[in-house]
Amino acid sequence: MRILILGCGRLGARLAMDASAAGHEVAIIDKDPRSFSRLPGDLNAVIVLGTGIDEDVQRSAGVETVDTFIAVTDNDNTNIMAAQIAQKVFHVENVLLRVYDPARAETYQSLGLTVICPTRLVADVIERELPDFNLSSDMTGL
Amino acid sequence: MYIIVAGGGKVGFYLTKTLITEGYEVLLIEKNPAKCDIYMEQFGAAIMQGDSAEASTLQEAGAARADVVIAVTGEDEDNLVICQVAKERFEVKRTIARVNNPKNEQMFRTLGIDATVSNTNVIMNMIEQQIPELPFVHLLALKHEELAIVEVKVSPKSEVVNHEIQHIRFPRDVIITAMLRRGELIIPSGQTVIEPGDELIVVTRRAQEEQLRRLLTIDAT
Amino acid sequence: MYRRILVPVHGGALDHYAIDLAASIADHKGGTDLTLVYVVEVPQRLSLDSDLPCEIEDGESVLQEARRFAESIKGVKWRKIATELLQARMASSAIVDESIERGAEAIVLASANRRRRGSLTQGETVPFILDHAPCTVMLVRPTTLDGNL
Repeated sequence: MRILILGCGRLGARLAMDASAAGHEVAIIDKDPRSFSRLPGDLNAVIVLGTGIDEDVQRSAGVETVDTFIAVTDNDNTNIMAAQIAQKVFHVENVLLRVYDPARAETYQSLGLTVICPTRLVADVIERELPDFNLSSDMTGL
Repeated sequence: MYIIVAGGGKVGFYLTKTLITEGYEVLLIEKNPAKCDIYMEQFGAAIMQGDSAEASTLQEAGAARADVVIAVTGEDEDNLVICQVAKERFEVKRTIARVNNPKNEQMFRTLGIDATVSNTNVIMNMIEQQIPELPFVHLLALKHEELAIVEVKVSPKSEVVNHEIQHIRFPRDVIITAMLRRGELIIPSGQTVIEPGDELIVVTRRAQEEQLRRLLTIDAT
Repeated sequence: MYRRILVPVHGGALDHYAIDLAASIADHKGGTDLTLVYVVEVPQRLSLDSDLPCEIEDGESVLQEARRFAESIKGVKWRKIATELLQARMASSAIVDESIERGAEAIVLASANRRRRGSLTQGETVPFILDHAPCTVMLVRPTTLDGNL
């Protein structure tokens, strides 16, 4: 599989390493050159310096031939715009993105993007660990 | 008519000021609390502190009753998301986004934004074109995919510098509608002489755009 | 002594402190015009001219109560007591505008310390009026917080 990752933070770098170890072709974009120091020197990946919301930057990272686009910068709006470019302009098959704000996550999920909302996920886990936490909503469910 | 302006930079500030003077109901939303305090002195209740891309902010701002949402922050991705959230969640009829990178103009249209602009005056015209009795209606033609408004800064080395507009051989179908010279707005005539650094606002066919850019921005030699 | 005094009210015991103070600075010979003002603040999500029957009703009853209280104060000569119910985005600027329109010589208001987001505040209304009113402003902040404060 060919995978393009936007954002070389902790998560992006992790995904790039895992994907590469699994034998996938990986390209990764970040606007901050220092962020690439998170990647091991021997990583077999295409590294592109630039902003992910620029079509030309995406193109130079090979967006036209990838199967999967993953937007995981720490900026919700950057991820949203970049993901829409990948989906609507380059017709990438799988487009995934991280959005911290649950309300925005919901809006874009309903617009057909695969949105992962860490805030929601962590809240769900915590609430599952604390059985009494959701008492009020359980009661309304009765 | 109720207009929400998102982003209190220079564009947002002057746009809000102009719209209030024109008698519209306006709310300016700005993220930075310190900036809000300063603007509060001038705009009173017409200013709100918050992140316009958050649904809760737009709800409090009354986006559901807004006729227009104009996103003019310095970040294209923010402007896009503000307009999309306004449209999807609050069914705002008309959304206008400022485009900082001209490459994004086409993109924003593809992604459902009604209009994009790169200049305060042009935003004003777009609002006014909603009011039928004003003679600005021609801007509606912008909806046509062949037409574009472009803003071009004239290079000091361009061959057009120091020539009267009437003597410049522009590509076909190009109209210079306005120009900015050291911050002053000029409505040019045939006798207007182009100076280096002038910013031209030009209505053109998309097909001529590249030729026009080359003429105005590339070294003549 | 002040002959035209404006007192913003919003219901509750604080209003009495303000009206008492107004009475004590009123002109006891020539009499004083007292204007009681209640502002319905309209949230941005509603248009400014929205119908807000509940809020208007609350405001009317607060104004009536304030008027009764003012009339009950002994030894003060009110020439006229006017009540004014305003609908505005910000109470503060509405009060300042009203004071200008009425030619008020003094605005008398009461306030209590409140906590917001953990820090002590007088809210936005009091500082705005102090900054912008073109007349004398007197502020009471009582020590005893009784009643429904």
